[in-house]
Amino acid sequence: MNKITININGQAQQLAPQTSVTDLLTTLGHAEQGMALAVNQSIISRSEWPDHYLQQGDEVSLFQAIAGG
Amino acid sequence: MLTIADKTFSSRLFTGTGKFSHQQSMVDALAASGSQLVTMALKRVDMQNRDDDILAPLIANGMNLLPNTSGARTAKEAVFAAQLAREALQTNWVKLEIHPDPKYLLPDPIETLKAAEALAREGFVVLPYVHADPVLCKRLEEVGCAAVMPLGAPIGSNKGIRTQDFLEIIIEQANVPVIVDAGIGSPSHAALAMELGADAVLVNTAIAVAGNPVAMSRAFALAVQSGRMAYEAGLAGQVQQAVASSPLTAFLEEA
Repeated sequence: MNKITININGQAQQLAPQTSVTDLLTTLGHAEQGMALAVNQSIISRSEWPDHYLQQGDEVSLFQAIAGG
Repeated sequence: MLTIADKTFSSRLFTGTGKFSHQQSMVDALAASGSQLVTMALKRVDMQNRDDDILAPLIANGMNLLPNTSGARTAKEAVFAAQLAREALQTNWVKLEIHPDPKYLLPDPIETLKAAEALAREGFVVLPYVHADPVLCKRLEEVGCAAVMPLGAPIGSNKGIRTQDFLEIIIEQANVPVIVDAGIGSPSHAALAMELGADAVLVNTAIAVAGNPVAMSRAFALAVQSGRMAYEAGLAGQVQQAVASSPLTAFLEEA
């Protein structure tokens, strides 16, 4: 099966076609809690993650809650 | 009890989660503080180096989360950061902070007002970090901010309540809670802010980098309670000359 290539925070990543945002986070080993994500500068809300499939060439920005004042 | 938007707090000490030497120290100190609202930041995930998951223990301890927009230099960036934070932490509360200059980290009033208006319109509970500017605080209240967070001194400076005269005006005029944020370096600073009538204080650095963060948290909690109690009790006024506390009778003079 052909892989697709996306860019996550400046790093190329190969994925199987029909990879959802939820699948991506699982692949990367991130819990969903505390994460936010934008695809091509549009924020994808968490309720849409299971059904939002990544496309060839997508620019994914992944954010995480961290300690701060 | 302090009410901000839809939430009620029995503790008037809010705390930050930054700068602790390790996660357990943060968890223990925040528990000791009695704080019910803690700030968090957002960052772009580093794909090489994993950050600690600090969220799970905070949620386990029942903390309300207040994500900030630190790193934003414009209203547009702050709105985007707030929208991301809402997704990450599943809360519409946001500490709006826009400080373009890293040396003093002073908040940009114009960008802050623009972002506050946009975020309030989107349904966010907006708590803006601002200079102790009474006019700006009124403007922020008018555009729908749930509270205002004027500074005592620059972030992390520990210099205390350097803006006292202006905080007093802000507190006098505000119809929303006033949370003194930034610069509070010791429990006495926190107590002073509360004596002035602040509704709450936000402390981070002074607890996080203390020799014993847990003990310092307790000291801050007591100071905040004490300062609030004094404010509610009604402080005696100040005068220039002495006013005797004992009766000045001439009983030692020879008859």
